[in-house]
Amino acid sequence: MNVERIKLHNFRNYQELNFSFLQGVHVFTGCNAQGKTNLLEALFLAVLGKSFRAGKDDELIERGKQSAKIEVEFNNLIASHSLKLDLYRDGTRKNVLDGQAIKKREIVGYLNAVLFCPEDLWLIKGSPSGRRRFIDLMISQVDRNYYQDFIKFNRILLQRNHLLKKIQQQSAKPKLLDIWDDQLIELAVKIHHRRNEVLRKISELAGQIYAKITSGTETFSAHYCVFDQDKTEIEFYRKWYQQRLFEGRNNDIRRGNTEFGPHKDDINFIIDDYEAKLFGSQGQQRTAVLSLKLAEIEMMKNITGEYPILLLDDVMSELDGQRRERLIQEIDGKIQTFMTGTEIAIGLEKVTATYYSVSAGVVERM
Amino acid sequence: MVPLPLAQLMDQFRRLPGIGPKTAARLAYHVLGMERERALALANSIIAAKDKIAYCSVCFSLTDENPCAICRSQTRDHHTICVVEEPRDVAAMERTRGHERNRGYQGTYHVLQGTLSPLDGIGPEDIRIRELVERIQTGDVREVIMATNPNLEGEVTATYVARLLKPLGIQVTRIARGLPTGSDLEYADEETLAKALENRREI
Ligand SMILES: Nc1ncnc2c1ncn2[C@@H]1O[C@H](COP(=O)(O)OP(=O)(O)O)[C@@H](O)[C@H]1O
Ligand SMILES: [Mg+2]
Ligand SMILES: [Zn+2]
Repeated sequence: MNVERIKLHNFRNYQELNFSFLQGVHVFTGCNAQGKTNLLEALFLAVLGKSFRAGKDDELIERGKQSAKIEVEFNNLIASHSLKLDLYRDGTRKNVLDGQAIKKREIVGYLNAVLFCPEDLWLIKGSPSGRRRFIDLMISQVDRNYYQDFIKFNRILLQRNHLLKKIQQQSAKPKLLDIWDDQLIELAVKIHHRRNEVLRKISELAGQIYAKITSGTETFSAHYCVFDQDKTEIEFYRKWYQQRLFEGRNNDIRRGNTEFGPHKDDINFIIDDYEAKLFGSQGQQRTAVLSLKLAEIEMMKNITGEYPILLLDDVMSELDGQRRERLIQEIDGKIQTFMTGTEIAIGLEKVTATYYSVSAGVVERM
Repeated sequence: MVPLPLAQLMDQFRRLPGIGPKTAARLAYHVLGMERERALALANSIIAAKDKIAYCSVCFSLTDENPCAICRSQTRDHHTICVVEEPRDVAAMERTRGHERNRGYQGTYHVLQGTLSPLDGIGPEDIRIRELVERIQTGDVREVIMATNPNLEGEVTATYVARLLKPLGIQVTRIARGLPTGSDLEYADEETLAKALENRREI
Protein backbone atom coordinates (compact mmCIF):
# COMPACT_ATOMS: atom_id res chain seq x y z
CA MET A 1 0.00 0.00 0.00
CA ASN A 2 0.98 3.59 -0.59
CA VAL A 3 0.43 7.02 0.86
CA GLU A 4 -0.49 9.29 -2.05
CA ARG A 5 -0.85 12.62 -0.32
CA ILE A 6 -0.62 14.29 3.04
CA LYS A 7 -2.12 17.65 3.97
CA LEU A 8 -1.55 19.31 7.31
CA HIS A 9 -3.04 22.45 8.79
CA ASN A 10 -1.87 23.79 12.16
CA PHE A 11 -0.44 20.42 13.08
CA ARG A 12 2.52 20.75 15.52
CA ASN A 13 4.95 23.10 13.77
CA TYR A 14 3.29 22.74 10.36
CA GLN A 15 0.99 25.60 9.45
CA GLU A 16 0.30 24.30 5.97
CA LEU A 17 1.68 21.28 4.20
CA ASN A 18 0.49 19.62 1.05
CA PHE A 19 2.64 16.95 -0.54
CA SER A 20 1.96 14.07 -2.86
CA PHE A 21 4.07 10.94 -2.93
CA LEU A 22 4.83 8.19 -5.37
CA GLN A 23 6.00 4.74 -4.37
CA GLY A 24 9.57 4.23 -3.24
CA VAL A 25 11.78 5.70 -0.58
CA HIS A 26 11.28 9.23 0.76
CA VAL A 27 14.09 10.71 2.79
CA PHE A 28 13.53 13.74 5.05
CA THR A 29 16.61 15.47 6.34
CA GLY A 30 17.13 18.52 8.49
CA CYS A 31 18.56 19.70 11.79
CA ASN A 32 17.04 18.73 15.09
CA ALA A 33 13.64 20.04 16.12
CA GLN A 34 12.57 21.01 12.61
CA GLY A 35 9.55 18.74 12.22
CA LYS A 36 10.86 15.48 10.79
CA THR A 37 9.33 13.25 13.44
CA ASN A 38 6.18 15.38 13.42
CA LEU A 39 5.65 14.37 9.81
CA LEU A 40 5.89 10.64 10.59
CA GLU A 41 3.64 11.24 13.56
CA ALA A 42 0.99 12.72 11.25
CA LEU A 43 1.22 9.69 8.94
CA PHE A 44 0.95 7.37 11.90
CA LEU A 45 -2.23 9.14 13.02
CA ALA A 46 -3.82 7.74 9.89
CA VAL A 47 -2.68 4.27 10.94
CA LEU A 48 -3.75 4.10 14.55
CA GLY A 49 -5.91 7.18 15.02
CA LYS A 50 -3.59 8.37 17.73
CA SER A 51 -0.03 9.54 18.11
CA PHE A 52 2.88 7.24 18.84
CA ARG A 53 4.30 9.76 21.26
CA ALA A 54 1.69 12.28 22.42
CA GLY A 55 -0.74 11.22 25.11
CA LYS A 56 -3.38 13.77 24.13
CA ASP A 57 -4.54 15.32 20.88
CA ASP A 58 -3.99 18.68 22.56
CA GLU A 59 -0.20 18.48 22.07
CA LEU A 60 -0.68 17.93 18.35
CA ILE A 61 -2.42 21.22 17.71
CA GLU A 62 -0.09 24.07 16.85
CA ARG A 63 0.53 26.27 19.88
CA GLY A 64 -1.89 29.19 19.93
CA LYS A 65 -4.31 27.56 17.47
CA GLN A 66 -7.73 26.11 18.21
CA SER A 67 -7.72 23.14 15.87
CA ALA A 68 -5.56 21.00 13.63
CA LYS A 69 -6.36 19.15 10.41
CA ILE A 70 -4.64 16.07 9.09
CA GLU A 71 -5.62 14.62 5.75
CA VAL A 72 -4.03 11.50 4.33
CA GLU A 73 -4.86 9.93 1.00
CA PHE A 74 -3.67 6.38 0.49
CA ASN A 75 -4.43 3.26 -1.45
CA ASN A 76 -4.39 -0.41 -0.72
CA LEU A 77 -5.07 -3.43 -2.93
CA ILE A 78 -8.77 -2.92 -2.67
CA ALA A 79 -9.36 0.80 -2.90
CA SER A 80 -8.19 4.37 -2.50
CA HIS A 81 -9.08 6.11 0.72
CA SER A 82 -9.07 9.57 2.14
CA LEU A 83 -8.93 10.03 5.89
CA LYS A 84 -9.52 13.44 7.44
CA LEU A 85 -8.98 14.16 11.10
CA ASP A 86 -10.01 17.41 12.77
CA LEU A 87 -8.62 17.82 16.26
CA TYR A 88 -9.95 20.50 18.59
CA ARG A 89 -8.50 22.10 21.70
CA ASP A 90 -11.36 20.93 23.91
CA GLY A 91 -10.36 17.31 23.24
CA THR A 92 -13.10 16.56 20.74
CA ARG A 93 -12.34 15.47 17.20
CA LYS A 94 -13.86 14.49 13.91
CA ASN A 95 -12.66 11.45 11.95
CA VAL A 96 -13.93 11.19 8.40
CA LEU A 97 -13.07 8.27 6.14
CA ASP A 98 -14.13 8.64 2.52
CA GLY A 99 -16.73 11.21 3.48
CA GLN A 100 -18.20 9.17 6.33
CA ALA A 101 -17.82 10.06 9.99
CA ILE A 102 -16.23 7.17 11.88
CA LYS A 103 -15.13 6.47 15.44
CA LYS A 104 -11.50 6.72 16.39
CA ARG A 105 -11.21 2.97 16.81
CA GLU A 106 -12.54 2.40 13.31
CA ILE A 107 -9.52 4.14 11.77
CA VAL A 108 -7.32 1.11 12.46
CA GLY A 109 -6.93 -1.41 9.65
CA TYR A 110 -7.04 0.73 6.50
CA LEU A 111 -3.52 2.13 6.30
CA ASN A 112 -0.99 -0.33 7.70
CA ALA A 113 2.48 0.69 8.79
CA VAL A 114 5.53 -0.57 10.56
CA LEU A 115 7.17 2.09 12.69
CA PHE A 116 10.81 1.84 13.64
CA CYS A 117 12.28 4.52 15.88
CA PRO A 118 15.28 4.72 18.22
CA GLU A 119 13.14 3.77 21.25
CA ASP A 120 12.54 0.42 19.58
CA LEU A 121 16.16 -0.44 20.24
CA TRP A 122 14.91 -0.94 23.80
CA LEU A 123 12.49 -3.61 22.66
CA ILE A 124 14.73 -6.40 23.91
CA LYS A 125 15.94 -5.02 27.23
CA GLY A 126 13.14 -2.57 28.03
CA SER A 127 9.93 -3.15 29.96
CA PRO A 128 7.40 -5.87 29.02
CA SER A 129 4.87 -3.20 28.04
CA GLY A 130 7.03 -2.28 25.03
CA ARG A 131 7.06 -5.88 23.87
CA ARG A 132 3.31 -6.23 24.35
CA ARG A 133 2.83 -3.04 22.39
CA PHE A 134 4.95 -4.43 19.57
CA ILE A 135 2.78 -7.48 19.13
CA ASP A 136 -0.56 -5.76 19.80
CA LEU A 137 0.10 -2.99 17.32
CA MET A 138 1.01 -5.49 14.65
CA ILE A 139 -2.01 -7.75 15.12
CA SER A 140 -4.45 -4.89 15.59
CA GLN A 141 -3.65 -3.49 12.16
CA VAL A 142 -4.32 -6.71 10.31
CA ASP A 143 -7.10 -8.17 12.45
CA ARG A 144 -9.96 -5.86 13.32
CA ASN A 145 -11.53 -8.45 15.64
CA TYR A 146 -8.34 -8.55 17.64
CA TYR A 147 -8.33 -4.79 18.04
CA GLN A 148 -11.95 -4.78 19.18
CA ASP A 149 -11.23 -7.59 21.64
CA PHE A 150 -8.18 -5.75 22.87
CA ILE A 151 -10.15 -2.56 23.55
CA LYS A 152 -12.88 -4.56 25.25
CA PHE A 153 -10.39 -6.44 27.38
CA ASN A 154 -8.89 -3.19 28.63
CA ARG A 155 -12.33 -1.87 29.43
CA ILE A 156 -13.18 -4.98 31.48
CA LEU A 157 -9.87 -4.66 33.25
CA LEU A 158 -10.60 -1.05 34.12
CA GLN A 159 -14.04 -1.99 35.44
CA ARG A 160 -12.66 -4.93 37.37
CA ASN A 161 -9.93 -2.86 38.98
CA HIS A 162 -12.45 -0.26 40.09
CA LEU A 163 -14.57 -3.02 41.54
CA LEU A 164 -11.55 -4.47 43.37
CA LYS A 165 -10.98 -1.12 45.05
CA LYS A 166 -14.65 -0.94 46.04
CA ILE A 167 -14.44 -4.42 47.55
CA GLN A 168 -11.29 -3.43 49.38
CA GLN A 169 -13.21 -0.51 50.92
CA GLN A 170 -16.03 -2.96 51.67
CA SER A 171 -18.51 -1.04 49.58
CA ALA A 172 -19.13 -3.97 47.22
CA LYS A 173 -19.38 -7.75 47.58
CA PRO A 174 -16.55 -9.97 46.29
CA LYS A 175 -19.18 -12.15 44.60
CA LEU A 176 -19.78 -9.35 42.12
CA LEU A 177 -16.39 -10.15 40.60
CA ASP A 178 -17.82 -13.35 39.07
CA ILE A 179 -19.61 -11.67 36.18
CA TRP A 180 -16.62 -9.48 35.31
CA ASP A 181 -14.22 -12.41 35.59
CA ASP A 182 -16.30 -14.44 33.15
CA GLN A 183 -15.97 -11.68 30.57
CA LEU A 184 -12.30 -11.15 31.35
CA ILE A 185 -11.53 -14.83 30.84
CA GLU A 186 -13.46 -14.95 27.55
CA LEU A 187 -11.40 -12.07 26.13
CA ALA A 188 -8.11 -13.21 27.67
CA VAL A 189 -8.48 -16.55 25.91
CA LYS A 190 -8.93 -14.87 22.54
CA ILE A 191 -6.07 -12.41 23.01
CA HIS A 192 -3.71 -15.02 24.35
CA HIS A 193 -4.50 -17.40 21.51
CA ARG A 194 -4.02 -14.85 18.77
CA ARG A 195 -0.81 -13.42 20.23
CA ASN A 196 0.65 -16.89 20.51
CA GLU A 197 -0.31 -17.78 16.98
CA VAL A 198 1.20 -14.63 15.50
CA LEU A 199 4.30 -14.69 17.65
CA ARG A 200 5.10 -18.20 16.53
CA LYS A 201 5.13 -17.01 12.93
CA ILE A 202 7.12 -13.91 13.85
CA SER A 203 9.64 -16.07 15.63
CA GLU A 204 10.11 -18.20 12.55
CA LEU A 205 10.44 -15.23 10.18
CA ALA A 206 12.68 -13.20 12.48
CA GLY A 207 14.82 -16.29 13.08
CA GLN A 208 15.44 -16.66 9.35
CA ILE A 209 16.28 -12.98 8.92
CA TYR A 210 18.55 -13.00 11.96
CA ALA A 211 20.42 -16.00 10.59
CA LYS A 212 20.87 -14.23 7.27
CA ILE A 213 22.28 -11.08 8.88
CA THR A 214 24.70 -13.07 11.01
CA SER A 215 25.55 -15.41 8.13
CA GLY A 216 24.14 -18.31 10.06
CA THR A 217 26.46 -17.98 13.03
CA GLU A 218 23.71 -17.20 15.56
CA THR A 219 20.13 -18.28 16.14
CA PHE A 220 17.20 -16.19 17.29
CA SER A 221 13.66 -17.01 18.42
CA ALA A 222 10.75 -15.35 20.23
CA HIS A 223 8.50 -17.00 22.79
CA TYR A 224 5.32 -15.96 24.48
CA CYS A 225 5.35 -16.23 28.21
CA VAL A 226 3.83 -16.98 30.71
CA PHE A 227 1.99 -19.64 28.87
CA ASP A 228 3.49 -20.74 25.57
CA GLN A 229 1.30 -23.56 24.28
CA ASP A 230 0.09 -24.54 20.90
CA LYS A 231 -3.28 -23.59 19.60
CA THR A 232 -5.06 -26.77 20.48
CA GLU A 233 -4.67 -25.77 24.09
CA ILE A 234 -7.35 -23.07 24.30
CA GLU A 235 -9.35 -24.94 26.89
CA PHE A 236 -6.22 -25.59 28.85
CA TYR A 237 -5.38 -21.90 29.00
CA ARG A 238 -8.94 -21.02 29.92
CA LYS A 239 -8.87 -23.35 32.92
CA TRP A 240 -5.40 -22.18 33.87
CA TYR A 241 -6.36 -18.48 33.80
CA GLN A 242 -9.64 -19.14 35.57
CA GLN A 243 -7.74 -20.88 38.33
CA ARG A 244 -5.12 -18.15 38.45
CA LEU A 245 -7.75 -15.40 38.76
CA PHE A 246 -9.62 -17.31 41.40
CA GLU A 247 -6.57 -18.05 43.51
CA GLY A 248 -5.29 -14.50 43.12
CA ARG A 249 -8.60 -12.91 44.03
CA ASN A 250 -7.77 -11.96 47.60
CA ASN A 251 -4.42 -10.65 46.55
CA ASP A 252 -6.04 -8.65 43.75
CA ILE A 253 -8.51 -7.18 46.23
CA ARG A 254 -5.70 -6.21 48.59
CA ARG A 255 -3.83 -4.46 45.79
CA GLY A 256 -6.90 -3.10 44.04
CA ASN A 257 -5.41 -4.35 40.80
CA THR A 258 -5.55 -7.40 38.51
CA GLU A 259 -2.17 -9.06 38.79
CA PHE A 260 -2.48 -11.77 36.15
CA GLY A 261 -3.53 -11.78 32.55
CA PRO A 262 -2.59 -10.80 29.01
CA HIS A 263 -1.93 -7.26 30.23
CA LYS A 264 1.02 -8.65 32.23
CA ASP A 265 2.32 -11.21 29.78
CA ASP A 266 5.69 -10.87 28.14
CA ILE A 267 7.75 -12.04 25.21
CA ASN A 268 11.03 -13.80 25.69
CA PHE A 269 13.72 -13.44 23.04
CA ILE A 270 16.34 -16.14 22.82
CA ILE A 271 19.71 -15.71 21.12
CA ASP A 272 21.81 -18.86 20.92
CA ASP A 273 19.94 -20.49 23.80
CA TYR A 274 20.35 -17.48 26.07
CA GLU A 275 17.79 -14.92 27.16
CA ALA A 276 18.56 -11.84 25.07
CA LYS A 277 17.10 -9.59 27.77
CA LEU A 278 19.84 -10.66 30.16
CA PHE A 279 22.75 -11.67 28.01
CA GLY A 280 22.38 -10.01 24.61
CA SER A 281 25.17 -7.68 23.55
CA GLN A 282 24.27 -4.30 22.09
CA GLY A 283 25.06 -5.54 18.60
CA GLN A 284 22.91 -8.63 19.06
CA GLN A 285 20.04 -6.54 20.34
CA ARG A 286 20.17 -4.28 17.30
CA THR A 287 20.22 -7.24 14.97
CA ALA A 288 17.32 -8.76 16.88
CA VAL A 289 15.21 -5.60 16.69
CA LEU A 290 15.94 -5.18 12.99
CA SER A 291 15.00 -8.83 12.40
CA LEU A 292 11.77 -8.38 14.34
CA LYS A 293 10.80 -5.27 12.39
CA LEU A 294 11.51 -6.96 9.08
CA ALA A 295 9.57 -9.99 10.25
CA GLU A 296 6.69 -7.70 11.18
CA ILE A 297 6.65 -6.37 7.62
CA GLU A 298 6.61 -9.90 6.14
CA MET A 299 3.96 -10.99 8.60
CA MET A 300 1.65 -8.17 7.61
CA LYS A 301 2.23 -8.98 3.97
CA ASN A 302 1.38 -12.63 4.63
CA ILE A 303 -1.90 -11.75 6.29
CA THR A 304 -3.14 -8.86 4.13
CA GLY A 305 -1.50 -9.75 0.83
CA GLU A 306 0.39 -6.47 0.55
CA TYR A 307 3.26 -4.67 2.20
CA PRO A 308 2.55 -2.01 4.82
CA ILE A 309 4.32 1.34 4.58
CA LEU A 310 7.47 1.74 6.63
CA LEU A 311 8.23 4.69 8.88
CA LEU A 312 11.87 4.95 9.91
CA ASP A 313 12.51 7.72 12.38
CA ASP A 314 16.20 8.47 12.87
CA VAL A 315 17.24 4.82 12.83
CA MET A 316 19.60 4.66 9.87
CA SER A 317 22.31 6.36 11.91
CA GLU A 318 21.79 3.78 14.66
CA LEU A 319 22.58 0.85 12.39
CA ASP A 320 25.99 -0.13 11.14
CA GLY A 321 26.84 -0.63 7.46
CA GLN A 322 25.90 -4.27 7.21
CA ARG A 323 22.56 -3.96 8.99
CA ARG A 324 21.71 -0.83 7.04
CA GLU A 325 22.38 -2.66 3.80
CA ARG A 326 20.17 -5.53 4.86
CA LEU A 327 17.33 -3.12 5.62
CA ILE A 328 17.73 -1.30 2.29
CA GLN A 329 17.71 -4.60 0.44
CA GLU A 330 14.44 -5.55 2.06
CA ILE A 331 12.63 -2.31 1.27
CA ASP A 332 14.05 -1.33 -2.11
CA GLY A 333 11.45 -1.58 -4.83
CA LYS A 334 8.89 -3.20 -2.52
CA ILE A 335 7.92 -0.99 0.35
CA GLN A 336 6.98 2.66 0.40
CA THR A 337 9.24 4.11 3.05
CA PHE A 338 9.37 7.42 4.87
CA MET A 339 12.68 7.90 6.64
CA THR A 340 14.14 10.77 8.60
CA GLY A 341 17.66 11.68 9.68
CA THR A 342 19.89 14.64 10.32
CA GLU A 343 22.09 13.67 7.40
CA ILE A 344 21.40 11.99 4.12
CA ALA A 345 21.96 8.45 5.19
CA ILE A 346 24.96 6.77 3.75
CA GLY A 347 24.18 3.48 2.08
CA LEU A 348 21.31 4.93 0.09
CA GLU A 349 23.47 5.48 -2.98
CA LYS A 350 22.09 2.46 -4.80
CA VAL A 351 18.48 3.31 -4.05
CA THR A 352 16.26 5.62 -6.05
CA ALA A 353 14.97 7.86 -3.36
CA THR A 354 13.25 11.23 -3.24
CA TYR A 355 14.92 13.71 -0.92
CA TYR A 356 13.34 16.51 1.08
CA SER A 357 14.70 19.12 3.43
CA VAL A 358 12.77 19.94 6.57
CA SER A 359 13.29 23.29 8.24
CA ALA A 360 11.01 24.93 10.84
CA GLY A 361 7.89 23.21 9.60
CA VAL A 362 8.59 23.80 5.92
CA VAL A 363 9.32 20.85 3.65
CA GLU A 364 11.01 21.27 0.29
CA ARG A 365 11.87 18.71 -2.34
CA MET A 366 15.60 18.69 -3.03
CA MET B 1 -17.94 41.02 23.97
CA VAL B 2 -21.03 38.88 24.13
CA PRO B 3 -23.71 40.43 26.42
CA LEU B 4 -24.02 38.48 29.65
CA PRO B 5 -27.56 37.03 29.20
CA LEU B 6 -26.57 35.75 25.78
CA ALA B 7 -23.36 34.23 27.13
CA GLN B 8 -25.39 32.53 29.84
CA LEU B 9 -27.81 31.11 27.31
CA MET B 10 -24.89 29.74 25.27
CA ASP B 11 -23.45 28.23 28.39
CA GLN B 12 -26.78 26.49 29.13
CA PHE B 13 -26.87 24.98 25.65
CA ARG B 14 -23.23 24.00 25.89
CA ARG B 15 -24.04 21.81 28.89
CA LEU B 16 -26.46 19.69 26.89
CA PRO B 17 -25.14 16.36 25.61
CA GLY B 18 -23.61 16.40 22.16
CA ILE B 19 -23.52 20.20 21.89
CA GLY B 20 -20.18 21.89 21.26
CA PRO B 21 -19.40 25.60 21.56
CA LYS B 22 -20.24 26.32 17.92
CA THR B 23 -23.63 24.63 18.03
CA ALA B 24 -24.37 26.27 21.40
CA ALA B 25 -23.72 29.70 19.91
CA ARG B 26 -25.87 28.93 16.87
CA LEU B 27 -28.77 27.77 19.03
CA ALA B 28 -28.51 30.82 21.29
CA TYR B 29 -28.57 33.24 18.34
CA HIS B 30 -31.46 31.29 16.90
CA VAL B 31 -33.45 31.72 20.13
CA LEU B 32 -32.70 35.47 20.08
CA GLY B 33 -34.09 35.66 16.58
CA MET B 34 -37.37 33.97 17.59
CA GLU B 35 -40.59 35.81 18.31
CA ARG B 36 -41.18 36.24 22.02
CA GLU B 37 -44.17 33.86 21.85
CA ARG B 38 -42.08 31.08 20.39
CA ALA B 39 -39.30 31.54 22.92
CA LEU B 40 -41.84 31.49 25.73
CA ALA B 41 -43.43 28.31 24.34
CA LEU B 42 -39.98 26.68 24.30
CA ALA B 43 -39.25 27.73 27.88
CA ASN B 44 -42.72 26.60 29.01
CA SER B 45 -42.46 23.17 27.42
CA ILE B 46 -39.16 22.61 29.16
CA ILE B 47 -40.75 23.44 32.52
CA ALA B 48 -43.95 21.51 31.80
CA ALA B 49 -42.04 18.37 30.80
CA LYS B 50 -39.87 18.70 33.87
CA ASP B 51 -42.84 19.20 36.23
CA LYS B 52 -45.38 16.76 34.79
CA ILE B 53 -43.21 13.82 33.85
CA ALA B 54 -42.03 11.42 36.48
CA TYR B 55 -40.95 7.81 36.73
CA CYS B 56 -43.65 5.14 36.75
CA SER B 57 -43.66 3.52 40.18
CA VAL B 58 -43.99 0.06 38.61
CA CYS B 59 -41.68 -0.01 35.58
CA PHE B 60 -39.63 3.20 36.12
CA SER B 61 -40.24 4.43 32.63
CA LEU B 62 -41.21 8.07 32.11
CA THR B 63 -44.87 8.92 32.35
CA ASP B 64 -47.30 11.75 33.08
CA GLU B 65 -49.65 9.40 34.91
CA ASN B 66 -48.75 6.87 37.53
CA PRO B 67 -48.65 3.94 36.84
CA CYS B 68 -47.93 4.48 33.17
CA ALA B 69 -50.28 3.57 30.32
CA ILE B 70 -48.43 0.33 29.57
CA CYS B 71 -48.47 -0.84 33.18
CA ARG B 72 -52.22 -0.07 33.41
CA SER B 73 -53.16 -1.54 30.04
CA GLN B 74 -55.58 -4.53 29.99
CA THR B 75 -54.40 -5.64 26.56
CA ARG B 76 -50.70 -5.97 27.36
CA ASP B 77 -49.20 -9.28 28.43
CA HIS B 78 -48.30 -8.80 32.08
CA HIS B 79 -46.60 -12.22 32.28
CA THR B 80 -43.71 -10.89 30.24
CA ILE B 81 -41.28 -8.16 31.27
CA CYS B 82 -38.70 -6.65 28.95
CA VAL B 83 -35.77 -5.21 30.91
CA VAL B 84 -34.08 -2.18 29.36
CA GLU B 85 -31.51 0.38 30.48
CA GLU B 86 -33.23 3.69 29.85
CA PRO B 87 -36.74 5.08 29.20
CA ARG B 88 -35.70 5.91 25.62
CA ASP B 89 -35.19 2.15 25.05
CA VAL B 90 -38.87 1.60 25.90
CA ALA B 91 -39.70 3.98 23.07
CA ALA B 92 -37.38 2.01 20.76
CA MET B 93 -39.03 -1.32 21.67
CA GLU B 94 -42.51 0.19 21.27
CA ARG B 95 -41.66 1.08 17.69
CA THR B 96 -41.59 -2.66 16.93
CA ARG B 97 -45.40 -2.59 17.35
CA GLY B 98 -45.87 -0.40 14.31
CA HIS B 99 -49.41 0.90 13.75
CA GLU B 100 -51.32 -2.32 14.15
CA ARG B 101 -51.21 -3.02 17.85
CA ASN B 102 -51.18 -6.80 17.45
CA ARG B 103 -47.64 -6.82 16.06
CA GLY B 104 -44.28 -6.61 17.80
CA TYR B 105 -43.75 -6.61 21.52
CA GLN B 106 -46.89 -7.17 23.62
CA GLY B 107 -45.50 -7.39 27.13
CA THR B 108 -44.53 -4.83 29.77
CA TYR B 109 -41.21 -3.19 30.67
CA HIS B 110 -38.80 -2.61 33.47
CA VAL B 111 -36.33 0.25 33.19
CA LEU B 112 -33.13 -0.31 35.17
CA GLN B 113 -32.09 3.33 34.82
CA GLY B 114 -28.50 2.36 34.16
CA THR B 115 -26.10 -0.59 34.04
CA LEU B 116 -23.55 -2.01 36.39
CA SER B 117 -20.37 0.00 36.04
CA PRO B 118 -17.83 0.11 38.88
CA LEU B 119 -16.01 2.76 36.89
CA ASP B 120 -18.96 5.11 37.37
CA GLY B 121 -19.57 3.88 40.90
CA ILE B 122 -22.72 2.01 39.90
CA GLY B 123 -23.43 -1.27 41.69
CA PRO B 124 -26.56 -3.45 41.88
CA GLU B 125 -28.11 -1.22 44.58
CA ASP B 126 -27.84 1.84 42.39
CA ILE B 127 -30.11 0.59 39.60
CA ARG B 128 -33.67 -0.77 39.79
CA ILE B 129 -32.77 -4.42 40.25
CA ARG B 130 -34.34 -4.83 43.70
CA GLU B 131 -37.62 -3.40 42.34
CA LEU B 132 -37.53 -5.92 39.48
CA VAL B 133 -37.09 -8.82 41.89
CA GLU B 134 -40.00 -7.54 43.99
CA ARG B 135 -42.19 -7.23 40.92
CA ILE B 136 -41.45 -10.84 40.05
CA GLN B 137 -42.02 -12.10 43.55
CA THR B 138 -45.40 -10.37 43.89
CA GLY B 139 -46.74 -10.74 40.33
CA ASP B 140 -47.33 -13.60 37.93
CA VAL B 141 -44.31 -13.19 35.69
CA ARG B 142 -43.26 -16.05 33.41
CA GLU B 143 -40.60 -14.57 31.20
CA VAL B 144 -38.07 -11.81 31.62
CA ILE B 145 -36.41 -10.61 28.41
CA MET B 146 -33.07 -8.91 28.97
CA ALA B 147 -32.80 -6.12 26.40
CA THR B 148 -29.89 -4.17 27.78
CA ASN B 149 -27.50 -2.77 25.15
CA PRO B 150 -25.15 -5.28 23.47
CA ASN B 151 -22.02 -3.61 24.86
CA LEU B 152 -19.81 -4.73 27.75
CA GLU B 153 -21.79 -3.16 30.58
CA GLY B 154 -25.10 -4.21 29.03
CA GLU B 155 -23.94 -7.83 28.72
CA VAL B 156 -22.57 -7.94 32.24
CA THR B 157 -25.77 -6.46 33.66
CA ALA B 158 -27.88 -8.97 31.72
CA THR B 159 -25.80 -11.84 33.09
CA TYR B 160 -26.03 -10.51 36.63
CA VAL B 161 -29.80 -10.10 36.52
CA ALA B 162 -30.25 -13.50 34.87
CA ARG B 163 -28.28 -15.25 37.59
CA LEU B 164 -30.33 -13.45 40.21
CA LEU B 165 -33.68 -14.36 38.67
CA LYS B 166 -32.99 -17.97 37.71
CA PRO B 167 -33.64 -19.32 41.24
CA LEU B 168 -37.09 -17.67 41.18
CA GLY B 169 -38.13 -20.24 38.60
CA ILE B 170 -38.89 -17.96 35.66
CA GLN B 171 -37.59 -18.07 32.13
CA VAL B 172 -34.90 -15.47 31.45
CA THR B 173 -34.00 -14.72 27.84
CA ARG B 174 -31.62 -12.38 26.08
CA ILE B 175 -32.44 -10.58 22.84
CA ALA B 176 -30.49 -11.98 19.93
CA ARG B 177 -27.23 -10.65 18.63
CA GLY B 178 -28.91 -9.24 15.55
CA LEU B 179 -27.81 -5.88 16.86
CA PRO B 180 -24.31 -4.80 16.04
CA THR B 181 -22.24 -5.18 19.20
CA GLY B 182 -21.17 -2.08 20.99
CA SER B 183 -24.18 -0.27 19.58
CA ASP B 184 -27.16 1.30 21.28
CA LEU B 185 -30.64 -0.11 21.29
CA GLU B 186 -32.21 3.26 20.63
CA TYR B 187 -30.50 3.60 17.25
CA ALA B 188 -31.52 0.18 15.99
CA ASP B 189 -34.28 0.18 13.40
CA GLU B 190 -37.61 -1.48 14.17
CA GLU B 191 -36.97 -4.46 11.94
CA THR B 192 -33.58 -5.31 13.46
CA LEU B 193 -35.05 -4.90 16.91
CA ALA B 194 -38.10 -7.03 16.12
CA LYS B 195 -35.80 -9.77 14.78
CA ALA B 196 -33.57 -9.56 17.83
CA LEU B 197 -36.63 -9.94 20.01
CA GLU B 198 -38.01 -12.86 18.01
CA ASN B 199 -34.70 -14.73 18.11
CA ARG B 200 -34.10 -14.26 21.80
CA ARG B 201 -32.40 -17.15 23.55
CA GLU B 202 -32.44 -18.45 27.07
CA ILE B 203 -29.61 -17.39 29.40
N1 LIG C 1 2.00 21.82 19.31
C1 LIG C 1 3.06 22.39 18.74
N2 LIG C 1 2.97 23.63 18.22
C2 LIG C 1 4.05 24.22 17.62
N3 LIG C 1 5.26 23.63 17.52
C3 LIG C 1 5.41 22.40 18.03
C4 LIG C 1 4.32 21.72 18.65
N4 LIG C 1 4.76 20.50 19.07
C5 LIG C 1 6.06 20.44 18.71
N5 LIG C 1 6.45 21.55 18.10
C6 LIG C 1 7.78 21.89 17.57
O1 LIG C 1 8.19 20.86 16.70
C7 LIG C 1 9.60 20.74 16.75
C8 LIG C 1 9.98 19.29 16.99
O2 LIG C 1 9.67 18.57 15.85
P1 LIG C 1 10.21 17.11 15.61
O3 LIG C 1 9.51 16.61 14.43
O4 LIG C 1 10.10 16.32 16.86
O5 LIG C 1 11.74 17.40 15.32
P2 LIG C 1 12.79 16.55 14.51
O6 LIG C 1 12.95 17.25 13.21
O7 LIG C 1 14.02 16.65 15.34
O8 LIG C 1 12.28 15.17 14.40
C9 LIG C 1 10.07 21.61 17.88
O9 LIG C 1 10.58 22.79 17.35
C10 LIG C 1 8.82 21.89 18.65
O10 LIG C 1 8.85 23.13 19.31
MG1 LIG D 1 12.95 13.47 15.48
ZN1 LIG E 1 -44.97 1.61 34.06
